[in-house]
Amino acid sequence: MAERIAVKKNRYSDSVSLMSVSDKVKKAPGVINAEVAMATPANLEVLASLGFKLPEDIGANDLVIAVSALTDRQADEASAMAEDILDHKESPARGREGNVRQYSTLDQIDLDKDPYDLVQISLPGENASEEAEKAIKMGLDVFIFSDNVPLEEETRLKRLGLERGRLVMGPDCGVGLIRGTALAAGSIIRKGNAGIVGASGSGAQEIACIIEKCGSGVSSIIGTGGRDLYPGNDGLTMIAGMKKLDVDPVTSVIVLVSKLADNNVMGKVLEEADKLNKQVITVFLGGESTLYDGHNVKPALSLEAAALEAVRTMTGEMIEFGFSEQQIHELAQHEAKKIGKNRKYLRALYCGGTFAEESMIYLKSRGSSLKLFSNLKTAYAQKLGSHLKSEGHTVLDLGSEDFTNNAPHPVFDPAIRFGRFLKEMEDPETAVIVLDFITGPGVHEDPVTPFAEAIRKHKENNGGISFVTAVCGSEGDPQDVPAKERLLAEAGAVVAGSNFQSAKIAAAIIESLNRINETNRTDERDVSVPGYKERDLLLYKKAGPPRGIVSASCSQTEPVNDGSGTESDKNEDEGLRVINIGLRNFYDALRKQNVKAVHINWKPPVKQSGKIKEILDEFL
Amino acid sequence: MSIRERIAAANERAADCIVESDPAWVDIMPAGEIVEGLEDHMILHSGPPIGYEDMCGLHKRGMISGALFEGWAASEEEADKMIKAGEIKISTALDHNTVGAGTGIITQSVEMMVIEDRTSGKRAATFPAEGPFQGGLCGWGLYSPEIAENLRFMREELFPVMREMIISMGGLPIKPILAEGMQMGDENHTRQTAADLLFDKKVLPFLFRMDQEKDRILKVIEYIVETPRFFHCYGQGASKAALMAAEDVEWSTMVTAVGGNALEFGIKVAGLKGRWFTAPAPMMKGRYTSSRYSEKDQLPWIGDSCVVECAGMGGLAAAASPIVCNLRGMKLEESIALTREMEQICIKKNHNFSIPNLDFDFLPVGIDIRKVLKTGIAPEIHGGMFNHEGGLIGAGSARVPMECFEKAMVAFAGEYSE
Repeated sequence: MAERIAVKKNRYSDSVSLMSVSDKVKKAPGVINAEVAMATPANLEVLASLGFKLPEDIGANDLVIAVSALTDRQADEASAMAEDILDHKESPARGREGNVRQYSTLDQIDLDKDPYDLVQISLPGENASEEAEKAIKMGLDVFIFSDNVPLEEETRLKRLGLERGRLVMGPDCGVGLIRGTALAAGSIIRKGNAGIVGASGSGAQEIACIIEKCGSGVSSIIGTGGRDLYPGNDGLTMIAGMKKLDVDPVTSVIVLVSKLADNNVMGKVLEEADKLNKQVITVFLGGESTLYDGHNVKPALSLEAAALEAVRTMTGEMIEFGFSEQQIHELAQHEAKKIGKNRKYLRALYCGGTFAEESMIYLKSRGSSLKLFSNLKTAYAQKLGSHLKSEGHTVLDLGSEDFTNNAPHPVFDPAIRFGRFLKEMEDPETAVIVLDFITGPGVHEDPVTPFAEAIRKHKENNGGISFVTAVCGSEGDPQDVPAKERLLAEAGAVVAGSNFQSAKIAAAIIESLNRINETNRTDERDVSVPGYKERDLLLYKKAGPPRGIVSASCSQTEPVNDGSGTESDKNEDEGLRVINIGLRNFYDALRKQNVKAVHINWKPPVKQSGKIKEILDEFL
Repeated sequence: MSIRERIAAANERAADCIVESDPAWVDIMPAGEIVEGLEDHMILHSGPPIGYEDMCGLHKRGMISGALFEGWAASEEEADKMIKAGEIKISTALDHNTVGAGTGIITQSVEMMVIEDRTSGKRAATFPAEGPFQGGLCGWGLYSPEIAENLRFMREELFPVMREMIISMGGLPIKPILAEGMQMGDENHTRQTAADLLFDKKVLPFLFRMDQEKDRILKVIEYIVETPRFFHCYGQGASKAALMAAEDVEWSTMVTAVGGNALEFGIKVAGLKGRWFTAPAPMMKGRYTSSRYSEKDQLPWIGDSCVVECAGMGGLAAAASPIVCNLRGMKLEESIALTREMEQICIKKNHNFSIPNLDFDFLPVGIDIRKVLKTGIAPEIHGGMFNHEGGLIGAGSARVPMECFEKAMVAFAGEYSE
């Protein structure tokens, strides 16, 4: 046994703090006894009773560290540990200021003293609407990330919002951008003049990111949730959102995005859109062009097309974005040549539900040569026997319930998708793997690198699979999107500027591969290892420096009614102030953006026993 | 008025008994004179009522110590026999106008600090810490020739001076000290560091001016200054006096007492006067004073000092005292969050306690059994950890068992259903 006594002359620390130091040191490896205490007569007695031999010249103003451990080294380490704790060296978290705003429920917040604008809710669906209702009644806008909120609850909340003049975004709202603040899983998009109202998460995000990649920017992304265009909800949030953007002095063009929904509701939304002063661009994914007959809106058939049309409206310029048709053709041939023998199938592993959908719609439109399977129930693909096993050409939405029932969504934790990715790479029939990556302050801090590393290894070993990727993210995101795109290209993956292009390229590669296989000319295969120079070929080209961002005062569209803009002008100068209930990482994301935010330490309500519940119903 | 409205109004009144209370230390008196219902040959103890046979060793030893101290028995064996024969009565401190901190051994000759709530006129009495023995007879149930001598010394040499002092002062208001201490890092249960100093600052000038021998005054000063947590008994007395006023409020679901006897833990409710609702006593989590100790040394909850939680201090005031919460490794944020959690089970906020860490928001006060059951949040209570021999071995916290509230709620429904 080894013993160490260290005396710190005239060093004071209060006994409560010292008790916690002793406690921590005692848990160190090999420690038998550990006392860190002021050398008061009482403490000296305790130390003596533990068998510590103490120097005589110590007194009540001195601090003693007394440690006994099994070995000399352990005693040294424990003694050093005590000193480190006393000197606050042990915890890097120290110095981080405590947050005095700690609330357990919404109603604990006194908005007069501590004002907020919006409540972001990511609770389990069954608890979300209660909190949303409270928030609306407190006079706050709400953003509901939660899914599994009953449809009738959603309708009730949206009607209440309309009544009280509050915006109800969601439920099932994945992204948002309000007054420059990215909400939930959204990206920090460059400020600009395009206003987006989007039903779904990745769709709206994709449009915003492409607009940014084209050098323009976005004023707002107002999320509506996936069922806003269902009968009952009647597009309440989409209509309220577009009206808000119509009077917003910064917004000069409005983009509406949704999956195909109820025909009557879509018609009603288009009628409302016709009444707006500003140009409206609409993309109802999967919708026929006849849907827009008789309306003023500009229809777009893909997210990319909608974004480019918005940029054109803002700048007067049609940007040539990403790969040209010719480049895609060449790229596809280049990739197809390197695909290994017997490899023939496409495997698309999406986190973004809209991306899966957009890709399937596109692939289907290429003709019947691509028979698709999917875990989604959709008109564009045959349903897989099991979501766990790919068949033929498979398009997966790994953010769907199949995969997220008992696990986090892949944008928060890539583990499940990465596992599936490795599995697809082992499949000897896999020819092309398609991946989307979604960035933003609220999602995983590095969703790209593990995939890029695996792709690099595969390429180095001449594995024979082609990888087609696209990063849906902004330059403002903490993940450093341009660096991640380079990383992917350097690893040997094609990096497209949009999901639509990624789908196009993947389809072209498969078609090119089919031609090679049909002609059966094995000599065409190129088995060279890719080098760094290839990066230039694989990575899409960005569209120059920012351009065409106009300030509110010189808006290109009709001047905005002065009266209606006053209040929002005032608010626009102050930052958004957000209350977060639910996922802690969404709060952290707000803090990363230096937004005034508070996290509610919400706990699920308890279930009382029958008898107690009965009594409480009567007495409380 | 509906039942709910009646309860709400009653609870408001009950909580106001605490918020509007004006406690002052007014006197020092023997328990026999100030503790109502404390008879000759009666010993009080902490926690809900319990029979002698069922008591933990600490309580049993306390009973015997009490009998020896009063001279009712000449030996431990005789005391044991007398108690078993019913010649010495046993009663629970919280059923009287006093508080049984620790083991809570109170007999007629114990000298008590008298706290009067000048708003309601209620008087409560609590025993002071026994100087170098801290808990000594009353708190730890110990009795030895040294403790006997110390009790004599306190009674004959210290208290006459202090009594003269407090009477000449016209009483010492307690609330300003609690409130200011609360702004200086105390939660007034586990920590009274600031309150002790504020108390010293108040009384020392009076002591110095007294027409007494310097030596006698110095002994009093030594006692006051060198006894750790000297002010604790005043915080408990102030809480008890206020809660006694609340005990008279019918229809109220506010908790007026919580305490443990190492076997059971119990609560009392304003609208259910005189009744106890019990569950097995919880264990405390916290830090030990020495690495010699671990959970196996720890006795389940014993003591009544959580009257201060009933009055909105201690565990409910976690935000005021992150240093006490740090005993359990909690950070500032978590201490604040804990008080915000407690807000959800309380009736109102106490405007006397404005807390810097809460950005000067007020502490919650008045535990409502309905809200405890509705939210599933049990009150956080702070306390000292005792070992089986009666030594203070640490400090920590626990939650009041939910079963107490369930039983109380059922009883309340039985009493008040229309």
